[in-house]
Amino acid sequence: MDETYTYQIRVRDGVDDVALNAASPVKVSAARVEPDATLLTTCTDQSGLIGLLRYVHQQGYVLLSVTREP
Amino acid sequence: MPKSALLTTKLHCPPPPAYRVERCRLAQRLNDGLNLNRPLTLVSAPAGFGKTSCVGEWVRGLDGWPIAWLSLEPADDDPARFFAYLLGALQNVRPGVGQEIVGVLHTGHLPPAGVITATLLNDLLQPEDGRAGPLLLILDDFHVIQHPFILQVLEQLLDNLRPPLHLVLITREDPPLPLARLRADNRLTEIRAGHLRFSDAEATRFLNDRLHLALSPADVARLQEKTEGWVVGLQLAALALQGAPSPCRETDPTRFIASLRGSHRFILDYLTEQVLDRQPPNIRRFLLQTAILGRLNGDLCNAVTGREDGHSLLDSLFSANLFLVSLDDEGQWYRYHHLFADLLRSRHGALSKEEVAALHLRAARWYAEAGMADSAIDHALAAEAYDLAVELLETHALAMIRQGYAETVNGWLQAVPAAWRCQSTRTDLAFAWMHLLRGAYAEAAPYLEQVEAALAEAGPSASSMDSVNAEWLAMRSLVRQMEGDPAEGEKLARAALATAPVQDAHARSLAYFALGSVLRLVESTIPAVDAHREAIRQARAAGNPVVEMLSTVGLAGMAFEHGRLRLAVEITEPVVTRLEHAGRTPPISGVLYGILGEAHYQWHRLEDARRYSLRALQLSTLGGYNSGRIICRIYLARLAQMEGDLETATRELQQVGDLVPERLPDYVRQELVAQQVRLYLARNRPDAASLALQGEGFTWEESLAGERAAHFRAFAFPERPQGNGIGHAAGLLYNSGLRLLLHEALASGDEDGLPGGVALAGRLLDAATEGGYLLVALEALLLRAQMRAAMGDIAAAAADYRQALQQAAPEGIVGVFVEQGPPVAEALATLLEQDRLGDVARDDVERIIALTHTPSTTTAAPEAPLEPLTERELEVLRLIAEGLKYKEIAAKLFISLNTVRFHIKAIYGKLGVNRRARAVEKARRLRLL
Repeated sequence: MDETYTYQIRVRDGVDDVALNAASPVKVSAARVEPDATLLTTCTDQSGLIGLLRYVHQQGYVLLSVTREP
Repeated sequence: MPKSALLTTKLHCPPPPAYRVERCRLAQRLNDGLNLNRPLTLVSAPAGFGKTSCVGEWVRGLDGWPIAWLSLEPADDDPARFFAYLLGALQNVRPGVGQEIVGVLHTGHLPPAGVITATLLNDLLQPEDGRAGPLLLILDDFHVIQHPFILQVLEQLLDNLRPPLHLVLITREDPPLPLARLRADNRLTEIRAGHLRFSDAEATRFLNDRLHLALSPADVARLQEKTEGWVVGLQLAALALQGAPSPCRETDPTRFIASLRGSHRFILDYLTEQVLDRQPPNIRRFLLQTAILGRLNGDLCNAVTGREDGHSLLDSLFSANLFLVSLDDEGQWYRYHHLFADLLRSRHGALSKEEVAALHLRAARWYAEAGMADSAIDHALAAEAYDLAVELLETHALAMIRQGYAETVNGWLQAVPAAWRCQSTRTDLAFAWMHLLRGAYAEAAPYLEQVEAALAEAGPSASSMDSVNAEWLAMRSLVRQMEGDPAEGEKLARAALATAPVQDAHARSLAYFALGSVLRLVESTIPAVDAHREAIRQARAAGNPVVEMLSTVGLAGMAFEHGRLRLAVEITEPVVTRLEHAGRTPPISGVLYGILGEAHYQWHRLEDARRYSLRALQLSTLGGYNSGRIICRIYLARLAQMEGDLETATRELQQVGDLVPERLPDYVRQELVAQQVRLYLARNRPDAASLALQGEGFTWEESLAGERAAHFRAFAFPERPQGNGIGHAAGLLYNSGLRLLLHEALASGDEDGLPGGVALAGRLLDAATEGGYLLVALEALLLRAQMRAAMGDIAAAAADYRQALQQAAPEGIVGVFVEQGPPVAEALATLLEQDRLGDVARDDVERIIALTHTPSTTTAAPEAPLEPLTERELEVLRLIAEGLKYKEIAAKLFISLNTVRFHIKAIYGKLGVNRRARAVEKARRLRLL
C-alpha cells in the first residue's frame, strides 16, 4: 500500500486539466480517449489516489473506472 | 466556544508511546523541509503507519519551535468548531492570535473566509509586538476535514504562508488542497507510506531492543516482508509473539511468522484475533465494551462497564502497549489507536445489539452528568435513546448554537427520526433564531414551519406550548418586518406579547424586541422606545445578552436619529465597555460603535469618530455584514470629506462598490446616495450627483438657458408611501437633492430654481420636525438659509441660521454646520458681527467658524489663481462680493446677463472654485479684493 503506481481514472465527459491541476492534490494528465470520456493518468500511492478520487468527485466529475498499470 | 470549553487533550502533542523507536532519517527529512523554508509538510499514509508518533517524536526534539498541535476528530468538520480549536491551539503558544475571531466565534458567528485568513496571517506574520517568531502548526487526522469553508481558508493560508510559519498536515489521504502546485514550486515536504515503513534496522531495534523478542535476523526479515514494514502490523505481531499475559504463548516465532499471509487487512484481522484471544476474558470484555468510546478515562470506563478498576486497567493496557494512546501528560485520558478501535468495534458481534446500546446509554449519561453535552448527545444517538437525545438537544441546542456548533447541532437533529424531531421545538426555534440573527430569513423559514406544525399538532388549548408559541410569533413578526409588511409584523408581535407567559422573561424579551422593532419601522417612536426598554429589562432577567444587545442597538439608533446624541452615547457606552471587558464583541455590536462614531462626528471629535467607525467596520467585516460595512465606509468618507481630504473620501466610497449586493436595504442605499451627492458636488460633478438622485426617484426640470448646456432649476421629491413619515436616511437623501439645487443655482447664477427649493426645504423641515429627526431638520434649515441668502433674503436666512443654532446647542451638535463649508461659516461670521443671531451662544458660533476654517493639508488649493484675472473679471468679482445678483451686475456694468455669466465662469475657472461664496473667500485670501 505504500508503493507508487501509475493509475488511470476514467471520468465522464471532457476535463479541463489546467483547471483540474490548479488545485489538485496530485498532478494528473488528461487525455480525451472517447467522445464522452476522459482518461486521467497519475502516478501516486494509495493515500494520493484516495485523495485524488475524492477531489475529482468533489469537482463534480463522474467516475467511470480506476485501473492500475502493472 | 470559550477556551474553557475546548478539550485540552486535543491541543497536546501526544506523549511518546511506551515502546518507541527513534527514526532519524524521517526527522532529517522533516528538518530539511524547515531548513528549505517550505511552508507545508504533508504526512500522508494509511492508518497504522506511525504518522502521529513520527511527527510527535520529531517535534519533541525540535529546539526553538513553539508547537501548536491540534488532534482533529469528525465533529471538528464544522467551521465554527474547527476554528475555535485551531485558535485555541495557536493561542497556546502565541497568546492573542486571532483574538478578534475568537470574540466573534464566542457569539456564534463565523467570519467570512477571507477575513479569517487575513486576520490569522496578520497576527502571525505581523504581530503588534513586532515579534513574528517561528511557529509550527500541526493538524493531526486532517482527513476528517472535508468542509469546503475550512479547506478554502487553509488554501488561502497556504498561498500566503511564509517562514517562520510552518504547517504540518497529518492525514490518511491527500487533502483536496493544491498540493501538486506546491510540489512543483518546491514548497512542500512529504512523508508518505513509503518513507514511514520500518527499515530492517528499525524493525530489529523495535522487536529485539525494545520488546526483547530476540528474533533472528532471518525472522525479522521475514516479518518485514510479510508486513511490508507496516508499523501496526509489526506491533501486533510483536504482541502475539510476546504472548504475555497470555497463557498460550506461541513458542516458535519462525512458524508463527510463516503463518502470516495476505493483505494488510487480513493480517490485521488475524493478528488482532491472536492478540485478543490471548487476553484474559475480563480484559477482552473490557476492550470490547470500551471500544465505543472516542476517549477513555477511568471513571468513564467504570460507568460504561460497571467495573471499579477502570483506572488501573487503562494503566496496565498502556504499559502492555495494547494500542492505547495517551492524550495528556497526566495519564488521565487515553484513546485507542484508530485502527484497533475500528477492529474492536467490528467485533461487537460478540456483544448483543442491546448490550452495545446500553453501553452507549451509560456513556451518554456519564457525559451529560459531566457537562459534556456534545459527547452525551453523540452517545444518546448511538444508543437510539431519542428521548434523551431530544432532551439534551432541547436543553443545550441554543447555547451550543451560540457557541458556534450550528452544523454539529444540525447534524444531530438530522440523526433524530422525524417522529422524535417534532418534539424538539426548542431546537427548531434555536435554529430559526440563529438564521434570523444572521439575516438569513429564507433559511429560518423551514424551522419556523416545523414549529408551526408542532403547535398545530398540540392544539390551541395546549398552554404548555405558550412559550414556544410566543417565541414563534415573535420570530414570524421579525420575518414579516423584513419582508416589508410592518402591519402584519406588528400584529404578530402583539400576539406574541399576549401569548408569552408572564413568568417567561425569555419569551417576553423576544416579543418586546419584535414589537420595538416594528414600532420603530412605522415611526411610532415613543412606544418603540418603551418596547425596547422592556425588552432589555426582560432579556437581563432571562440572561439573554443577544436580545439585550439588539434592543440596545434599537434604542441607541433611535436616540441618534432623533439628535439625542448624549442619550445615544449614554445608552451605548456602558454596553461597549462591558463587552470589551468580557472580551466578547459580537459583530452586531459594530452598530453601537458606529453610533458612537457618528455622535463624535457631530461633536467634531474627529479622531474619536474615526476610531469608533474603524472599530465598527472591523466588527462588521468579521461578521460578514455588508450593510454594516457600507454604512461604515460612508461615514469614513463623510469624515474624510469634512477634513477636506476628497481623495480618501472617494476611495472609501469606491470600496463600497465591491460590497453592494443586488439589493440593499433602503436606509443603506439612501445614506449611500446622500454621501455620493455630497462628494460629487464637492468635486463639482453635478451631473453625476443628478444621476445618483434620479436613481432614487428624484425628477428634474432642466434649463437650457445660459452658457451651461443644462443645469437643474427645479426638482420634485419622489413620492412617499401613504402615511409613512420621512425617516432619518430618507431625510439625508432629500437634503442632498436640495444641496444639488443650491449648488447649481450658485454655479450658474440662475436663481430661478431657488424659490421652489426653499418650499421643498420647508416641507422637508416640517416632516423632519414632525418625526423628530433633528439632524435632518438642521441640515434642511442650513440649506434653506443658504438658498434664502442667495436669493437676497438675508433676514429669512438669518432666522434659519438662528433656529438651527438654537436647536443644535443643547446636544452640542456642530458637525452638520461644519460640513456645509465656508459659505455657512462666513454667513455665521457676518451675522455674528452684525449681532443678528439673537440669544445664540457666541462661543458656539465661533467654534463652528473656527472648525470650518481649519485648513486642509491634503487638498489645499494652490494659493494663486491659475492665471491672472482681467480688469473686467476683477470688477465683476468685486460686485459679486458686494452681494449683487447677476442681473444687477449686468445693469451696473451695462453688459448682458450672458456676458456676466461668461465672466463668472472664467473667474471660477481661474480661482479653482465652483460657487460664488468660495470665489469671494478665495479672492480675499489672495488679496484680490
